[in-house]
Formats: sequence, structure tokens, C-alpha cells
Amino acid sequence: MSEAAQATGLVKVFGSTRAVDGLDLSVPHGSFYGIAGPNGAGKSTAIRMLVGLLQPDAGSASIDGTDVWPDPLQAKAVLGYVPDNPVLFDRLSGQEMLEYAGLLRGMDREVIRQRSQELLRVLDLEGASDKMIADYSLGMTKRIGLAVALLHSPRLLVLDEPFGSLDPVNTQVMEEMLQRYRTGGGTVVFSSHVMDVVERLCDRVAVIEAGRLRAEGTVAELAGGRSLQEAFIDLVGGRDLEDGELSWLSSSSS
Amino acid sequence: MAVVLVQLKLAIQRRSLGHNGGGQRALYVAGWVLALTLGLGAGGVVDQMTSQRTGLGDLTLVILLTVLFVGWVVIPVILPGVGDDTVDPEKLEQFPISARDQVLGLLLGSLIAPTALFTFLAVAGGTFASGETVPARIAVAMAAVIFTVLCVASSRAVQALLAGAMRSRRGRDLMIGLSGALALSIYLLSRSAHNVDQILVDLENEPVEAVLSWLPPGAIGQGMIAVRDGHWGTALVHLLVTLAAIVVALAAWAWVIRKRVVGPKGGAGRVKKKSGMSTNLALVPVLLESMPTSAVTAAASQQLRYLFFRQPRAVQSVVILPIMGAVVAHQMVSDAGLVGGAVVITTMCLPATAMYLFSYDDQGFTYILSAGAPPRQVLLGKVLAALIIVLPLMVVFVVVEAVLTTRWDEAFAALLAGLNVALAGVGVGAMTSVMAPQNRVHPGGNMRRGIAGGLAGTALLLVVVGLLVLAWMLTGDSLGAPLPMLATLPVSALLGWLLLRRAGGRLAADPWRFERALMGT
Repeated sequence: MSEAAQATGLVKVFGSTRAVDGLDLSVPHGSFYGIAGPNGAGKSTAIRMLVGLLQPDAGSASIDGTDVWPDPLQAKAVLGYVPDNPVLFDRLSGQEMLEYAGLLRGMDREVIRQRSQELLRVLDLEGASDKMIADYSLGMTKRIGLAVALLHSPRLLVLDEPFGSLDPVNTQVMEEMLQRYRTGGGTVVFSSHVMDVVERLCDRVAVIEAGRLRAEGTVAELAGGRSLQEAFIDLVGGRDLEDGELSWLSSSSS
Repeated sequence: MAVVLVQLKLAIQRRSLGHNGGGQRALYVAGWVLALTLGLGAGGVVDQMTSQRTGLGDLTLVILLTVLFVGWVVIPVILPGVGDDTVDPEKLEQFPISARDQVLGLLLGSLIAPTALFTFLAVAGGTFASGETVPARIAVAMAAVIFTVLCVASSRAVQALLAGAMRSRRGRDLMIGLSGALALSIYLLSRSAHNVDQILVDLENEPVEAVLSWLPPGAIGQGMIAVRDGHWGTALVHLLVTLAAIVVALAAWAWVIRKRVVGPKGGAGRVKKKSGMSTNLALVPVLLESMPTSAVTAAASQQLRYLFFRQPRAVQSVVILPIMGAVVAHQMVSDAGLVGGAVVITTMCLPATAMYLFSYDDQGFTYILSAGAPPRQVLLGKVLAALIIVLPLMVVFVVVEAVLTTRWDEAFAALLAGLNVALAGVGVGAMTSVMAPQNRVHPGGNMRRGIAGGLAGTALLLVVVGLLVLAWMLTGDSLGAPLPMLATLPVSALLGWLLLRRAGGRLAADPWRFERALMGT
């Protein structure tokens, strides 16, 4: 049986920078899969190639057994994607954006209407459903982005830094939604720097550094008896300040 | 600090040119060369006006400077992307830069622009007027600098005020109405100016010069005239009027910057909520409710929402151009009949509705890509939205003109002519939209290319319309006979379809390249 998502030897080069350098990933069906890595490790680039938004220079990606490239339309039909900063038609209201997404995917109008209302209610956006997305806060934009990605009930949900800019209540709601989605047979892939979230939610974790897979396994395997945060720092290397560095910060500036 | 901001602007400009390749650099250089050439030409005209030493020459000078000033203030309001927005003032808010320093820095940066060079050279032409003393020539050169500062400061202040007002829904609506009315007034004025010489002679007998010479731009002209005539005291008083106007413009600009920290009051941009019992979707207009669920319906609905009431710039274009078209077409009817009128109004509606199909989507286009929507269908939906606007406007125009002129016998031919132009024109519009994408929400580095492409598209549209009209004239006894229009209808439809198909194919072949061009990345 094919994996929910698979990447083999993915490469992306921007100028002289190899953002992703031969990345292999294998995401099992029904899993909660975390992609961790330091800033600039290539997580977002890898995800964009996986979801059909950025063509790789080399390697292949597949979703549910369907090759993403060269024609990503079929793969996009079965996945939902929420980028770090959701890109939406910000001059549509939240409700209109959901309807637009449903129509674009050829869904039945009654289904669009019912699911939109339910998603807006669950994500606490009902009161702002007729407000333009341009007037939403970042947290609200993130939630409407999630709603848009979930509307067509995808088999795979890919989220880039989903919990940033969410308050604790909405973080809990989103976590519950994702767990429920996974229980229903869906697969979740998300990238995050926040190790305690990864530790709490994920079955498996891939750690990427400098565009390459540094480690992959279950959370317990990677943690090896420590916290995931400690294991992550051991893997990618921590940075301590030298004695005396930035000492001027300890006194008030003049 | 002002120098730092100027350096910032130049650095951004340099980076943008380097990033967008040789074509952009060539356009940039061409802009400066054009400004230099036109500036010298306009300077020659000002030189002549000043040298004439006649009442008519003086009046022309005052009016010329007033018109130049009005252009500075109005054009960036009417045409999105024309204003200097290299350095976004919002991004400066995080730094400890006072509003005064921001304004001075941005003002200095804006003075380093082809448009400012043109303005300076135009007015500085007065320096070469015959029979001037050396002190007078120096004073005129200073007046040219002051006039340029006045134009730049007023233009940026109005843009800042507009941007400030656009933060609230009410402000947006008000500004859209005002700028639309302004554009329309200027247009109607220019339509009435058939005989400029006669108008100037008429104006000479009116107190126009007296009034204009005490308004800031005209005061500079009057000051130049006073210097020429050796009336230094009068020149100084007029100069003070202009300087006061500069201070007011800069103060208004600084006020907008300070006010931004306070934030807008209310105006969350609400849209009318539909009844919860309705099975219709809020997004889909009544007109499209019977269409099947598809990307075409989604794109057409979104486009119609954006063209009306959502993107202020879009509303502006969609409202102003058809009104202008109606005025021109109405005047055409007496000479070229209803067919001529229908052709003109349809042609004038097309640039605003069909040539910038993705220009207001901004990041929404990235969503279309991420959702995996077929680009051809999205394009088709947007073209459909254009037809939904253009065709009813054309039909209403023909019917109203037929009632007014009782030319009912030409009405059918006029409707067919308008349909011909609309069908072929949306194809041209689709090609233009795809070949020369232009982001009108966040104009970026590719704006010049987009504008050049838009002009090329308009030229192509005019060629197509010209060929259609020529064919009708060659094959029919008169333009009122419907048979030639009926005969060309399949050709127009085929042309429109072929162009649409080609545009869709190009978009689908590499939507990422299109996205990069649209977003200026």
C-alpha cells in the first residue's frame, strides 16, 4: 500500500543556495507527522514541493500514490494545505472564501453551505463570517486558512507552522480538530519549531537540517529518554553565548 | 535621517532593477530620457510664453503651471501604481523616525524621479526668456525648484491622505466617489476644450488669471511674470503663497503619518449577510446562481465581487471608464450613428473589465494555485465576468440612445456591432492579462512592464475594432445595416475564443511564472 505522502531525493536550488538537498520522506497513512528543523533548514521549501506549489529541480514527490509532478492538479485534489501565512482572497469575507474554495473544487452547493457554517462555528469565526479577511487578525486568518483547507475533506492535511500566532484556546481547538481528523482516517503533516507541540501530537518526526534529513523516527526513538527539545538541540547543535557577549544588554541603553 | 531615506529609496530601486532584468532597466533609463526630452520641450514652450510679454502669453503660462500641478495631484489618485511608493511609510513606523523626518526623507526621495525632472525642466524654461536680467534668471530657476517641490509635496500629501482614508470602509467609498468624480470632471472639461486658442481668448476676458495667479501653482507663474517685469515685491508675495502651500502639504502628510498610529475608527468592511435559511451561496451573485458548481462559477463570482465594492481601485476603473465611454459614444451617435456609439462604449469598457483580469487578486492567485484549480477555467470565469458587465452596459446604451435619437432602425445593427467588439475584445483582454500581468493592489517591480503590456493590449484592441469597422464599411451600404455585423459575428467569436484558448494554454503551461510576474517576485 502506498504512503500518504512520499518524497524521494527532492532537490531545490535558489541561486547558490541548495535549500533542499536530496530529501527523502515517507509519511504513513493515518499518522500525525511532524517536520522539525531550525530556521532556514528547508522545511517550507520541502513542503511547498510536496503540495505541488514549487517544482523540484530533482527528485519526486507523491501524494497517496499519485505523482505530484509534473502535473500537481490531481494530487492537490486530495490534499489540504495551510501555509504559514495563509494566502487567500483577502477582499472576500470568510464565508465567501469558503464558498469560493468549495466551488473551485466542484463541490455540491448544499454541502459547501453546511460545511462552511460548521467550520466557521467550530473555529469561532461565526461572528466574523461576513467580515473581509483583510480585516482579520493573524490568528483569525490562520483559522480561516485551516477551514478552507479542510472544506473538501482531504485525505492529507499539510500545515506549515500551524500554531504560531494562535492563542491557547484556539491552539487547543485546532489540536482537537486535527486529532479528530486523524481519527477519521486523515493524515496530518505539519512543520513546527515548537518541540513540545511536536512531542505532544506527533507519532513520527523528521528533523531537517540544511535541506537534508538529519533524523527520522517515532518521537520516543528520537527523544531517546530526553525531552524532544533537548534531542533536537543535540541533533542540530545548540549555540551558547560567549561570556561577555551582548553584556551591554544588561544595562539600560542611553 | 532624510539622506538615509533617500539612500534607502535608491537602494530599493537599484535592487528592483537588478532583480527584474535588462528590460526593466531599459524602461527605467527610457523613463529618464523621455522626461529629459519632454521637459526640455515643455521648457521651450514656457520660454516662449514668458518671452511673448503679452496678456495671452502670461495667461497661458499661469494655466500651464496649474494644469501641470493638477496632473501631479490627480493622476496618482486615478491611476494606481503611478505614484512613488518605493519606500512604504508603514515600514518606517517601527523605527524611531519622527513624522517630520519621514516626510522630508520621502519628499527628497520623490524629487529624484523622472516626473520631477520633467517638471523642473518645464518651468526652468522660463530662465531662457529673452531680455531677462541675470537676477531674474536666477529667481526663475529657484521658482522652478519651488514649483517642483510644491508638486511633489502636494501629490504625496494627497496620496497619503487617500491611503489614510482608504483604511476605513466609509473613507474608501468616499475617496472612490471623489476621485471618480474628479477624473470625470477633468475628462468632461477636456472634452469641451476643442478650440484651445478660442478658450484662452475667452478666458483672458474673465477673472481667471486673477484667480489662478493667487492659487499655489499659478502663483509661481505669476511670480515669474512679475520678476520678468521687474516687480520684485509682487513676485515675493506670490512666492510666499506657494511656500505656504508647500508647508500645508507637508504638514498634512506628517499629520497622516502621525494619525496612522491612532488607527482607524470602526469601518470593519462588512458585507451584507444573507439569510441563514437561503440555500444560495453568499459569494455567487443572483445572475450566476443557475450556473453549475465549477471553477468557472467560482472565478466569475469572485471577479464580480472584486470589481464591485471590494477593491476600491477596481471599482474606480470599472465605473469611470464606462462613464467616459458613454460620453464619447453619445457624442459619436450624431456622426457615426448607433453602431459607432455601441462600438465606442464597448471598446472603452473593455480595458477596465477585461484587460486586468488578475490585477486585483494579489495573493489570491497563489491560493488558486494551491487549490489546484484549472487555470483555463479560472480565466474563463473571469472573462465571463467581464462580459456580464460589458454587454448589459452596451445594450442599455443602445436602447437609451435609440429612445433619445429615435434611431430604432439602427438598434439591431448596433447591438450586433457591440457584441462583435465584446467577443473579440475579451479575447484580447485575456491575452493581455496573461502576457502582461499587473498587480494593482501591491504594484511591484513589474509595474512598468505591466503598463507597457496594457498599452500594447489596448493598441491591439483598437486594431481589431478598426478592422471590424472597416469590414462593415466595405461590405455594407451603411453602418446601420445589420447584415455585415451578423456576418462577422462568428469571426469575432472565433477570434475571441482562439485568443482566450491561447491565453489559457499559456497560463496553464506555467502558472508559477505568471505568479512570479504578478507578485513581482
